[in-house]
Amino acid sequence: MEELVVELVGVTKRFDRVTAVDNVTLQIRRGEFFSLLGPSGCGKTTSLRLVAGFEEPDQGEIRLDGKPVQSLPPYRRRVNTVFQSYALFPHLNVYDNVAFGLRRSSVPEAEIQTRVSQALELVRLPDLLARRTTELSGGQQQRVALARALVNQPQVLLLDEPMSALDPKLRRDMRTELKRLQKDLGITFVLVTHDQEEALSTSDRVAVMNAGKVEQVDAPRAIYERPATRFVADFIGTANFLPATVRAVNNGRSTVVLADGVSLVAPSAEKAPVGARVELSVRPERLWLTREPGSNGSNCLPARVVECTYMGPVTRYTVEVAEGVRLTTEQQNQDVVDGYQAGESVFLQWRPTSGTLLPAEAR
Amino acid sequence: MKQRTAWLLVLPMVGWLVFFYLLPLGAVALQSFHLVTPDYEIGKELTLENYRRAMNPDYYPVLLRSASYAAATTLACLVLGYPLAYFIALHGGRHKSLFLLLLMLPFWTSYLVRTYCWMTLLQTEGLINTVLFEPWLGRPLDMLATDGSVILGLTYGFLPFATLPISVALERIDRSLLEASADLGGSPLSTFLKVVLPLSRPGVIAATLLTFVPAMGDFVTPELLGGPSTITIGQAIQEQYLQLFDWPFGAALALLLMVLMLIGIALYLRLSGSERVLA
Ligand SMILES: Nc1ncnc2c1ncn2[C@@H]1O[C@H](COP(=O)(O)OP(=O)(O)OP(=O)(O)O)[C@@H](O)[C@H]1O
Ligand SMILES: [Mg+2]
Repeated sequence: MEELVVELVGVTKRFDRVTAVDNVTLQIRRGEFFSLLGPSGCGKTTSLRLVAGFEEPDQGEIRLDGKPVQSLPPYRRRVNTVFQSYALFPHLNVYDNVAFGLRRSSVPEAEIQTRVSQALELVRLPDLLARRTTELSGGQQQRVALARALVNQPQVLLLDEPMSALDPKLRRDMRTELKRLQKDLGITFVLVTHDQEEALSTSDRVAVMNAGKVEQVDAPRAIYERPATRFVADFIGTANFLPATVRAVNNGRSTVVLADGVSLVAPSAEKAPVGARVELSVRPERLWLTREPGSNGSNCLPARVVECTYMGPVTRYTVEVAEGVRLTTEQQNQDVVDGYQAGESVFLQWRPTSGTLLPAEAR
Repeated sequence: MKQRTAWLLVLPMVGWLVFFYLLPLGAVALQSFHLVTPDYEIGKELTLENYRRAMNPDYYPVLLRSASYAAATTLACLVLGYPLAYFIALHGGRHKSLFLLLLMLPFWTSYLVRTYCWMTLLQTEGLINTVLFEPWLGRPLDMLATDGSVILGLTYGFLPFATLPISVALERIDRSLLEASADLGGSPLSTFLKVVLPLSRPGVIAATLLTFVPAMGDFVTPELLGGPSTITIGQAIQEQYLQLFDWPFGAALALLLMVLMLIGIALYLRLSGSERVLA
């Protein structure tokens, strides 16, 4: 069941001075929707191009369907790419663009005809066969690019920021559409994006990349709820960080102490043994503010409100728990009748299970 | 207002065209309807006599020869220039401008001088014979004053004019299209045939025109590298002007050639469906 379609094993790719992909190991399963997510310049595109065959790795092995392919040219690999710029052939009409791949593998013309119409129907774009691609809207071009790739029934479909040129509304629609296509066809999709919402909402699994390295590979929920590194916690959504030291590990629960001696409880983490310097990360929406200290087993920190911003459904508070240690939290406005004022002393609380212990990074 | 300022910018060029192209052309056209007097003056009487003379079937082989030279030159320039342009545009890397400069380098010497150089190279006692054919065949080859020497000279002269537009067209091709082709299973050969070649068509069309048209009217090269058997229409016109001093008849020949060429160009553009491409 857990068949691997794409494998990168210790792959490194350097350009003149930069190491674009740094010792990356990835395993992508058959039929899954996999995303490469990371900030600009972290090596997502390069990773994708290595799989497609446009770049050759300096080190490591790339396998498609279990076979090493790093020395195969792109036209010998059964993967297809949807390019960021779509790269539709301007001298060919829609039909000939979609038929391009089939013609290269000498499919009979009659079969080409049916498969091209099927592919265009799949992306909901029939009736434009004779149109020049330069006469299409951005969204239509994208659908043609998708059809042109899918019509070849690739083992893997690679998509490099396919939606970055679309307006936000269209982007959301396309996102749903992509997900539907992937489910219906059962083809493995590898999507490159720097849009976390896009990655989290479409993917079965997400790889978060940073500076050429893979920081974490996990399901979207795990990426958000249990980030493996400070980078992931910070890059996905917003996170609060409290520097601390692990005092005790007991039965899946760790006790950590802050610099001022307050102790807090959080789920244990493998990389946070007793004595380790860690950072306790909590999402803003998991924190709540009270005027009285709690007593129901939640973590509780005295704090002072520094800033409050009313935003309609929620109010965002910035609070200071110690000199220079500030956290943000968002409170639903229905819960709080009169809100808190800047300068007010409050208590900040959260459930122990809401926190994540991250190894402190040497900075 | 803005529109008018923009028109001011083209004014110098319009002026240039009027004074150095349209007026002389009008003068030539006017001349062609007069006869030359015995003392080489232009006569007063209006007549079509020059055109009647120009329709003389004796000129057909000359015209045909010129067209064949121009066609052969164009073909040779495309065959030689395309790979050159391909290399410069797609593999020139950061030395691209250097290669283009090298391509243009011959222009720093007069065309006349360069053609004389070919003369010394090709003649019976020339470098090519003494170094290559005499040791190899035991005797020199007569290379000058042949169709080959004329076509060689023309090709040499016009190769840069063919290479430049093709290389510009190739340069403009989005690289991701080449990757897209490879991605869809296109081997390097089919990527070239199905993507690169069709997309470079405007360049090829421009190259064809930039070679064929001037090669057709050229007279320096056949004059220097050719002989009695390689007279071209350009030479025939030049002869009327500079040797027989029958300017009106030369004018009639030149205008007929021009009309013929214009018809040819129009047909070519229509057939290659490129009015839009060039527009
Ligand atoms: N052909 C190249 N030559 C030199 N450096 C390159 C080349 N391609 C990529 N790089 C460098 O490699 C690094 C990773 O680039 P890559 O395009 O993979 O990033 P990315 O994650 O796709 O970024 P973005 O989100 O901006 O597209 C960058 O520092 C980039 O400058
Ligand atoms: Mg990229």
